[in-house]
Amino acid sequence: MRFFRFSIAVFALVCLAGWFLLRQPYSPTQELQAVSYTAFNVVVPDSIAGFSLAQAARGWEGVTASTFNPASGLLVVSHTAKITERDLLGHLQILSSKPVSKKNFPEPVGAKCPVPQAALANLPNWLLGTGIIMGLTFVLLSIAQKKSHTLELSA
Amino acid sequence: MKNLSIFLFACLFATFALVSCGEKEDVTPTPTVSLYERLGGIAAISAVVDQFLANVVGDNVINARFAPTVADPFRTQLLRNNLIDQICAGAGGPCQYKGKTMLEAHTGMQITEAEFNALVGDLVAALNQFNVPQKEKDELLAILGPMKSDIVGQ
Ligand code: HEM
Repeated sequence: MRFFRFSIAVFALVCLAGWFLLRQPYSPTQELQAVSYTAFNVVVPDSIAGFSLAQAARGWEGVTASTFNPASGLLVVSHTAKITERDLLGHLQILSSKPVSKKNFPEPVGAKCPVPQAALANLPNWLLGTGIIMGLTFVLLSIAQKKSHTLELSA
Repeated sequence: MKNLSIFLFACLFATFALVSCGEKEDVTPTPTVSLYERLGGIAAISAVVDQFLANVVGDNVINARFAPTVADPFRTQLLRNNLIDQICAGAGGPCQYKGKTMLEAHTGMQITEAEFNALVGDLVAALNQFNVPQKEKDELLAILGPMKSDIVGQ
């Protein structure tokens, strides 16, 4: 039991020390909603029509920015998860009354880290959570052991 | 001895808690109105950056450079938040830039002057769209301009 408690305490301290070393300074950006940038190939009679499509998209819920580039013929929408790519495509198709297609940017080729980047970014939070849970377990175990010891003595 | 170890553990926890809470409130007031405040704070900066990145993704002079970023939601988020933090911190706001240095981030890319100008053009277009006054625009570009030597030709 004593060894178990000791191991838990050491594990908790290792987790907390890891969190302390890896934690990122706070920045208000952490509170911003995540966005995606989706590009669509649009067919418009002139650039004014493209700009007004982008303008219309800016009014849709979940859209944080939108632009039309006459040189590339791309309409790019920055949007939160409130509106999906499929919804955007549907709305744009209705508005432009011409076929609209999503422009797929090629995924990077070559060796890729097998650990998802998002998991790595969350490592400090995981370490903090585990450290706190282990620390509390240690405290509770210590209290329980102390109580049973007192009971043994009084008996 | 047992009580002592519990006490020490509790002290350690309290220290960690205090250290982590203290940082969020560490915002020193500035006597003059900072560029950050004049731009409209974090909400306005993030709106400009979203527009700026949308312009970049639509810009066929440079969008191929950002193809792997746009294809990966995590990388997209990282770039966007790093740009917001960079502008916000440079403008005197309460953000912390946590990304790479400009030299580290752009080394090996061999970015040309034309590409740099295209990206700055996309930023200016985003600032114009939000009617950012000339003074604030110039101040912001003056913060980013000196980074050019770490970005172009590296
Ligand atoms: C004033 C101009 C510029 C600024 C302030 C800037 C800022 C940044 C920042 C903050 C990052 C993220 C660093 C990190 O991941 O830690 C980044 C990455 C990057 N920048 Fe720039 N940059 C500029 C110009 C350019 C130009 C002209 C190009 C190319 C046309 C470019 C291409 C890239 C690419 C491809 C990445 C990597 C994105 C990723 O990791 O997914 N940058 N830049």
